[in-house]
Amino acid sequence: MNWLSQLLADLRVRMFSVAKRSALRDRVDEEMQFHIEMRTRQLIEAGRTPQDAAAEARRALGNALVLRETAMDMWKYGSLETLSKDVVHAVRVLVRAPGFTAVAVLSLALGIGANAAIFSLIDRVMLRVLPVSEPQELVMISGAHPYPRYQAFKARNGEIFSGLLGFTALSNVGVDGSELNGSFIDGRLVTGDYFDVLGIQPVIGRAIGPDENRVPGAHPQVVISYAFWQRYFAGAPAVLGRTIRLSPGTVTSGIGTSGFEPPPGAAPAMTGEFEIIGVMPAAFIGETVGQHPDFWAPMMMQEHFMPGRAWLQRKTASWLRVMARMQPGMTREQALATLNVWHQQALADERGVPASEDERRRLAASRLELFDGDKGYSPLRTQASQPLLVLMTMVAVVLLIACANLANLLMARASARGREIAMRIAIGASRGRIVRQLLTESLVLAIGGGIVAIVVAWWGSQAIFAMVTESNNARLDLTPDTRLFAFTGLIAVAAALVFGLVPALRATRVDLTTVLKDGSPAVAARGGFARVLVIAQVALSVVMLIGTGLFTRTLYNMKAQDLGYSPDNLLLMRVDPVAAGYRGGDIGRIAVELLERIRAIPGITGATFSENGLFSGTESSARIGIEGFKTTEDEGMIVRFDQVGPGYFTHVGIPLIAGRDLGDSDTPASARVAVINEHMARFYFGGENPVGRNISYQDGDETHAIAIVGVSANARDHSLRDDVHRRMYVSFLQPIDGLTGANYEVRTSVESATMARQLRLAVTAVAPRMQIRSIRPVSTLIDQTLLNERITAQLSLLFGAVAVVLAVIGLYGVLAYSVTRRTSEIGVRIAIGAVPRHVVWMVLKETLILVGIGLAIGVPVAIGLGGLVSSLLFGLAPTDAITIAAAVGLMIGVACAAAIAPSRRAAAIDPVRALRYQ
Amino acid sequence: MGRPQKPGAPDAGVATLDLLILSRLARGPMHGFGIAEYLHDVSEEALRIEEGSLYPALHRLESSGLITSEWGVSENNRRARFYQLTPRGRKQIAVEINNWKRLVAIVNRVIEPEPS
Repeated sequence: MNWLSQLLADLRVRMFSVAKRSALRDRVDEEMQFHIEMRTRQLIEAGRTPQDAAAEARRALGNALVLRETAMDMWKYGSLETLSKDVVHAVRVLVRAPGFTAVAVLSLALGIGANAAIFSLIDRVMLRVLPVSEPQELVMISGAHPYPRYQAFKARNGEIFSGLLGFTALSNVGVDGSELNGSFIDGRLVTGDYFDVLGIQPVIGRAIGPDENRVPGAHPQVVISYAFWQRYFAGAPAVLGRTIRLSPGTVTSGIGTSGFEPPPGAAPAMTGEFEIIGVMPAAFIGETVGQHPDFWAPMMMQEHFMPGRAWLQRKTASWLRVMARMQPGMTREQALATLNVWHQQALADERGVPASEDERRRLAASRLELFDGDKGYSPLRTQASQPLLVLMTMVAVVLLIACANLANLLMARASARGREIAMRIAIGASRGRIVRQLLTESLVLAIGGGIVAIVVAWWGSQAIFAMVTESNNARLDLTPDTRLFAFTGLIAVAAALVFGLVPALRATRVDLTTVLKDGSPAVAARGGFARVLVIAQVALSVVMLIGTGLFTRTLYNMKAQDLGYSPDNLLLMRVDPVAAGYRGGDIGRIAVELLERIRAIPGITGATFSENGLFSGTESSARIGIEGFKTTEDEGMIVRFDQVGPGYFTHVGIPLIAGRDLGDSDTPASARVAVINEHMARFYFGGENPVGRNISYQDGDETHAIAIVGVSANARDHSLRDDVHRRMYVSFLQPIDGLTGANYEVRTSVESATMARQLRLAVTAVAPRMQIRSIRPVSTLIDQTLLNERITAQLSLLFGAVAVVLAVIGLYGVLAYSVTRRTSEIGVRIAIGAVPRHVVWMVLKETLILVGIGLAIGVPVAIGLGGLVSSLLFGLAPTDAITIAAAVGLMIGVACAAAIAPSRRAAAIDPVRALRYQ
Repeated sequence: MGRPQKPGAPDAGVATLDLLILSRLARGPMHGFGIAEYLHDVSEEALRIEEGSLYPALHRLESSGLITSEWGVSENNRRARFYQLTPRGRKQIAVEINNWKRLVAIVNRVIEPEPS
């Protein structure tokens, strides 16, 4: 057990306190003293004079200082004490150079802060685990489901899951109560086992359980969030039992409304008073990342929040999201297999016997998937992860460039401290010791920068998150926490090593005699390394610039997409006739009435309506048949469709290529007609004119024949990126699917704000109970779909600019220094006849060489990395020549700008003075 | 000028110095100066230890637990730090002697030609 006793001995030794260490120092000093005295006495007895004896004795023992340090080093607590000494010394040194320290700390704060901000976002959005028990057992079932299907799953569940929960998100719920008049909040409808399956307990009161989910409409109770409790009830415990009024809201999770037909005779609106029965803990923000529901209500209250849509019984409305907790020991594969068996059974139950072989095959192929649920459900994650990762790379590059500048700064300082360092080496300090000390200075700078960086990160991450989620009510808790501190600390230390190591090593590689004589260390060495750094900076900057160029052009390309119609001065107004109590044929009637009103408003140059609107997030699709057209791909018989008002194409401005627009002649009584888009025409009919041909559509047991009366140009109405889909338009009055809402496309000749008021008045006049969900310009809606591209473009522009500025500063530093160093050489040249032009060219040549090498490295790297981001681009390849050329040109231009001042200084060198100082 | 011993670098010089110090201390406690003089005397003035190596070696041995030290009074009534062997140190001598013998054998093999 030799090693063990050795270890224990070491540990014993390491536990020496600082006091003991100074005692040790005294002891060693005294030992040395004793030794020297004995030797002196010995030498005196041998005949030396006392002075000679003393001197020789000292010499014989050696450098007492070094000896003492070495002896003390044996005791192995070197590192910790020297570290604290070094830190104190470093702080003193830095305080004596406030300008340098301020610049360094600030640039580090910005560089590290930007990195920490992006990390904070990535951490919260992509890495956080739900604060529930055993989150790794949670799984998310894909898709949206009808409520009866969820009940069927639950009933069939035996050993697979220990529980299944269902939920849907409600937004824009109006809340009213003593302190909270007229706010809009978000919430959830949850099944009785939601909290139980997730495994979370309320802090006060009780959670919604099976008891609160027995009878539809009979449980006006809610659980509220901690934040809501604090904000509106000031955290008062007496909140339990109080009531708040909640209005219906918008359901935002995956609705498919196939086959919707509201039951005749709408139930009266339920009273909106809800009793607060519990408060959730502060850390629990629901099952979705990036959303902060303020309340959870029992599923049985669904009809109150979604009036006119009795979907608890509806087998064909898919709106519920389902999560489950796996039974321990159950594998994903087993669970998935069983789940899909249930799914098939549920489909059979919902749709009845498949009407055709095709349909049977299609149903059989419908599969569910299981996703990890431990980090919650998060469309935000899927949407934002790639841009976030790209941004993370960019900020890392910016930090590297900043570190390069710092390295150069440090080397300049080190050469100024050349004498100090040489002196210390001369009196015996080991090189390693000095390097450690210089590194500690870098570390202190980096830690200082890191502390300020936390603030930068906090503010920055919130700003970026606000940019990302401007359209909805998302909130993310971004307060700094342990992970952020750890990350920042790590980055700070890494940065210190990156920018501090090489300067520290180089600073100690000095020829003592030369330095002590004239005070400046080997000069060429510094210049060489500084050049390498600048080349690296240029390379990194050009990579960033190319990235910026690509992302900015992507955004531009997407915005420049031809929509098929002009979005200028086009408003989209969403109304909800169903919630106002209109049913069936009434919806069409009221829509037409409202349209006439709107068309009469002065300043409106066109108005029409459609069920799905433009860029409003809802879409419908249907399965059709075309006589004489067969395809093996099941997908081929599915088209998108919209149910539109009269004159849709004329008023929206989509050109008709053949046939006619839908109009007033298309009524419930006349033959069914449709207009199809160019893509659909080409797909089914090749080059032939489809006007007059028929589409067959199956609605339950009935088959409708719909005649094609027109072909419209392809129009973009949902996404800028996707390919255009096959699309069919039918009249609102001849719906092939139940009508659920109306979007009014209104073209105005005046500014939108006044028009919005007019529109509201029109709606109130025609249908006072009808809610207007929103009135927005179509261009704004389009912008919202471009969120990712906009963020990426804006931030890459910002970071790219910062990178270039830093690189230019670095380049300027190197050039200025080079001119200073070559002052005598330039003086000589001028003296023997060089014109200012030649001198300027000298400097410029040096600039271009540096930039050239940097570009030669950077451009291939950029091209190599481009492949990784190609999925983010639109309309151009990562190797886009124009972008690369522009980036290269910009870099060269900017570099030349950096060279202006140094070259002018060089040209203005007075040869006499220059030579005098040689 | 004395050159400080690089701490912790195991080489033949350090090993033999350790052995020499431990051997001396096997005969009884002594202070650093005395150890240096003893080695010089006993080796009939052939061994002049680099004095710069002595104290680091002593401290290293002490921190490893092979020897201990305490204040004592020297022969001329001065305060001096006396070192003595620990039981572990006593056992270590045998180990060091073995290492020394092995070192000698290796060196011999190098310098003496192979018997043909």
